[in-house]
Amino acid sequence: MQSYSHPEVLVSTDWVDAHRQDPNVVIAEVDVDTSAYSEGHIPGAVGWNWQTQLCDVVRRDIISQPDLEHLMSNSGIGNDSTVILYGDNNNWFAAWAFWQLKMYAHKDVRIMNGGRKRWLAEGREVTREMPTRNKSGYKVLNYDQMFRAFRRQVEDEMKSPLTALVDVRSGDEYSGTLLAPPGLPETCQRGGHIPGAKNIPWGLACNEDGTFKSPKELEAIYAGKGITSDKSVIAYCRIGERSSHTWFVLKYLLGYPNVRNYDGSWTEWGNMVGAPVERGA
Amino acid sequence: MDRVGKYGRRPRREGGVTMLKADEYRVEKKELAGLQVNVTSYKIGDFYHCHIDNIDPGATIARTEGLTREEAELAALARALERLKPKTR
Repeated sequence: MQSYSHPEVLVSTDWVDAHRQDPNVVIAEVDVDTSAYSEGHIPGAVGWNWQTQLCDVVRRDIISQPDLEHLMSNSGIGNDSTVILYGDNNNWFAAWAFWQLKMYAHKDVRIMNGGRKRWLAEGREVTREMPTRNKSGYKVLNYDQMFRAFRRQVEDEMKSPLTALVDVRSGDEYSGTLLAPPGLPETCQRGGHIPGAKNIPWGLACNEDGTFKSPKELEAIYAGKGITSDKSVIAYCRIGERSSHTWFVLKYLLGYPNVRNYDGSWTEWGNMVGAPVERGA
Repeated sequence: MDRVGKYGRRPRREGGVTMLKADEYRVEKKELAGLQVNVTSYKIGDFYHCHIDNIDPGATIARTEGLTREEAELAALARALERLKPKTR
């Protein structure tokens, strides 16, 4: 069976169950709704709140280096720790955390395949008790935004045949019928998509149980729409979290060499004065 | 018999931590306000939990708990229905 390009960044629920007490392993549940963590979480897992701990909500930015060091240190994560991320919404926010930790050059970070959903569905043990971990004194050793696309870069590259834009939102958001996923706040002035972007909803990369599809299936999904490894790929969604999931798939499961997440996403593009927008499927 | 006089298995403890499981895990597809949603419910400890996801794109739009599955699901459905009021332009 064909394997993922970087199998080392993906662990199974079995692996986590077997290694969750290893002293060098730190598990973090990353949720948009942290009441999920409070219901019950993997024993020993720390809980990270995407909205308050992994975003700079004032600058609308990723968290700063001092904030990341503070978060990692308080979570008992050392520079040599193996960090296992999982969470709600099929690992959207775990993927967001993974993306940031990669930019801050943490050496060993992995995602638990299937996320919280699979762990619970398999009837594995959880607890409501929060772990106590000693502060680690974590220091960021390097920082590189190579996995991030900014608006100006998207504007500059959108017409290049060497660049492929992937809109990972639902078909209705892409076409402009909806401004936000049903039940979530609208954060833009108008609907549609960036001209030239291909619509490949993030969920196509997952099986019903939340695990990732096979390399062969993934390759067919993306290459079938012209998203190939020879291109510079930029993924976006509404606020950058679903697209971090697709970024993970393209970069680490399929091994595309040049993939970036445009975290400004539709919330930025859909509010810009004069920005080109296409509507329809 | 446990300390409150109920029969049943005591939760396992590991390193001073009480270990529980998501029992009676169930996922049902339903239509709500014209949209397909997943209604997921399970019991952890003494409480039933329910969360509702919009299948496309897959975000959680309601999360509740109750003493019974029905109580948790009804509360989640009410909250989801409120959030799913269509917004189109």
